[in-house]
Amino acid sequence: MHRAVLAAAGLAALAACDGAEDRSSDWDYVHTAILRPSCATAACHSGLSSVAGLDLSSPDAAYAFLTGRVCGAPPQAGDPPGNFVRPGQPESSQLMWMLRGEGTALVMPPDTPLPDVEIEIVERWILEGATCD
Amino acid sequence: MRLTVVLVWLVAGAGSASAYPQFQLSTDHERCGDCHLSAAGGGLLNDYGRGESADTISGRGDGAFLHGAWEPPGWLALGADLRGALGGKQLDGHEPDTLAFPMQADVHARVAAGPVALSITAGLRGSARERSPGPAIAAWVASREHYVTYQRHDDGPYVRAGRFYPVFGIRTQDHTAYPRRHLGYYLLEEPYALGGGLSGTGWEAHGSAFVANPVPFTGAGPRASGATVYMERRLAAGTRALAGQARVAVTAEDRRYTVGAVGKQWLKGSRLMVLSELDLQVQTFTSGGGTRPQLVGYVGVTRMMLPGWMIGGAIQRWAPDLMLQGSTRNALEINAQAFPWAHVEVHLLLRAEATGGDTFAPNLLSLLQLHYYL
Repeated sequence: MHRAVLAAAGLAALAACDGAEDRSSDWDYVHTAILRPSCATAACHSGLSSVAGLDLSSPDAAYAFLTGRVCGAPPQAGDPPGNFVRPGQPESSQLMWMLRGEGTALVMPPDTPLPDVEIEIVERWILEGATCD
Repeated sequence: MRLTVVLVWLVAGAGSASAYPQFQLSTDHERCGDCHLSAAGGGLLNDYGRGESADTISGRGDGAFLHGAWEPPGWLALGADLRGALGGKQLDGHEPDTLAFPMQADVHARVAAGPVALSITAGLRGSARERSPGPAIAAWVASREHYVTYQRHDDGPYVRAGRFYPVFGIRTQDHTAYPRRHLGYYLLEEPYALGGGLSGTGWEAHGSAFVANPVPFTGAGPRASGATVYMERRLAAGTRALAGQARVAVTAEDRRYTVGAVGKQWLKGSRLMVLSELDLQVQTFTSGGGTRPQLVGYVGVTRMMLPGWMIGGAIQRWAPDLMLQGSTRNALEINAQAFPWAHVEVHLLLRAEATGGDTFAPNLLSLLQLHYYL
């Protein structure tokens, strides 16, 4: 019994010691770990509903919608459609405003906003160029 | 205060209201299949269940289809669920919103021919905002369950194939409960599967193998293939149940391996029904990103004041990455459910949900649901 309690206490002490900087900011991780479970739900940005024309259910589709680029294609000049993501510029990316609820009444996700640590990972992905590899 | 009126037959409710796990054990019935036509529980009630819905749950009215005005032939079972909601929400740091929306408009049908039965649940759906391009019918209609079952005897083994909710965890009527929301059983995430189950005195076991929905615009969630198993054992003269479960789900982007336990305890003296679930999940990412351990926890206690009322509370925890500080979601909720007449339910839900461990700055939700089932 004491060993179990000690083991649990040890696990608790070890748990949750990582920060956002310890997680990957690759697109695959950003999409699969953060955007897909929180945004691509039945009533929102799934292939089923595509609210506001946004289908974030697959990595390629989500990348194209958010950045205006096709994954693997060379970058194009100009702002991406809708300005959801401006590579390298999280402060002027609409996606960040919506995730943080800054300067907009439309907080995303509207039922439960993301925790700050996950928003930081998305921000780092944009800051590092919003690539899809 | 902003008024948000969601003028839709919202998908956001189309997966709810088909199972009330609080009634298992507390109404002297050990198996969900005692009252539901499906041996796996959920969905249409059998004749006995309809009788119980009036006599034991509501205490007034006639629980039969159409309130007993017309009795379908023995090979046919029909039903419907209509649910609407009024309420409000306030996200931390933002103005409160008022909510008003229809949640659910499902019809249920089951056609039986000997040991074979076809079950279909279909409902109207829509979108609060701009509709997506695509097949018009999919924009309005959703069928979250449609499957064929083979079962020779009511208590005997069964197999089924089609789209259905595999037996796994506590199947709360609230699709936003964390075990459903975060383990692959959120709205319209029912997979296509081949499953089966069997039961004996004091136990039951169910298993399913599932594949990604071949028609993506009819479902949501990760397009996973995998399998689930669930084994439950009743103890203490049918007042307690313990279950173990496991699940594997594989998509092109990740793999999730889940093991969990479910505990159910009916405290007859105090008329308290306790439902609890703890799941540990490991998610590995196909393209880098490594592995992350996850946890879902749920404990709900309901005071059963039947006929007529049940009032309870629940605490829930979702940790999408146990090693990542500030990533958890915690929720505390209160539920008051009234069953004034057969076929009618009034449900008040109050929830405070904190993200990132910020317990003192929760997001608040209140929802009054009016539910009529036929």
